[in-house]
Amino acid sequence: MSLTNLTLRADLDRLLTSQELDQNQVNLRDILDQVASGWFSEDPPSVTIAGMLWTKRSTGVQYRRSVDNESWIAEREVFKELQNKAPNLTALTDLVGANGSIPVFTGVGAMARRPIVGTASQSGGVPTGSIVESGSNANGLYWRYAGGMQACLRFNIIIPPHALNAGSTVDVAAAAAFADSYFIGAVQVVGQYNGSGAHVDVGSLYTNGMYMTTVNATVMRISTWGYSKALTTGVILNLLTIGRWHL
Amino acid sequence: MHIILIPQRRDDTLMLSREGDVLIINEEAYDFSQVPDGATLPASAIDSEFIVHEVQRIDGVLYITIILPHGADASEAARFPAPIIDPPNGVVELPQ
Repeated sequence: MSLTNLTLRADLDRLLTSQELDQNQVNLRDILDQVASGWFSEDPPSVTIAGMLWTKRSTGVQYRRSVDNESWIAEREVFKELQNKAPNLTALTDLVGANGSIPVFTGVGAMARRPIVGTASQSGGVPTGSIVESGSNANGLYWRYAGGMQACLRFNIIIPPHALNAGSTVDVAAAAAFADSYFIGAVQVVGQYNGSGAHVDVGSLYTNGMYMTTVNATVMRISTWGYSKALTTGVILNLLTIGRWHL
Repeated sequence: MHIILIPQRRDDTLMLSREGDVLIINEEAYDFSQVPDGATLPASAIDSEFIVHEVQRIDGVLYITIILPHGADASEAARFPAPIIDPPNGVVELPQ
């Protein structure tokens, strides 16, 4: 090995391990760029720069061989250089993780940690909260999704009995408010309110007909009318409503 | 006056106060003193998004059902609220 190479290697070794890097003496940035590009390339995993063997390790810290070729020296400067090139990566490494959370971009070089299930929120249609919110109250269950979809379940709604040529109207408040009255409902007939036999009134309900309309962004109105039969005991329904919680 | 609360996950808030038969909902006053005993006032006659059920007066007592907004992390008391029986005049304490 020539004297020139030995001097360069000694200089590099001193400079790379020193806290006081003099950019005028050695163009360190150029060398680090070469190392970083070697790191990103698939092949070879190790590169020789300025007469020294450099290789990558799984910890994400670049290593190079010492001058006497006896040991590996961690090269954190390369990692810093990489961070300068990739601000999003820097933002990601600054996050503190938590179980059930995911990182999201909040801008260029800016990230945040958010729970997958938590409070759904938005600003101008852009999610600012969790992917899905799940909750319950005395009006049943609800799920709010980022993107605007909302589904609510309500159990054990009682359609009261009524005579022939008369009707019942039941207003059902959803567990969570919709953005407007453009939401729809589907019912599951559970059975008669206090009957256990032939379920006559369940059949009567279908013979008579039942329809639903939204009153506002909150209430689904279930209406029945005794076109052909009276409803003698009442019928129990479950209700699923789907719509949007923001525009 | 009996106030029945129906909880709903909403992004808005509710401020409630009572002055006799007048209920003030978010600074808007609703006077129910004209509702006679035994009568029913349909929700469609009341211009408030918080009132979605009829208002009744039974044996002289007004029964008013009001939506109680709550957030994503509301307490059990707000999500499964008990009725408020004859609150005194002034601000009505709502479960948080």
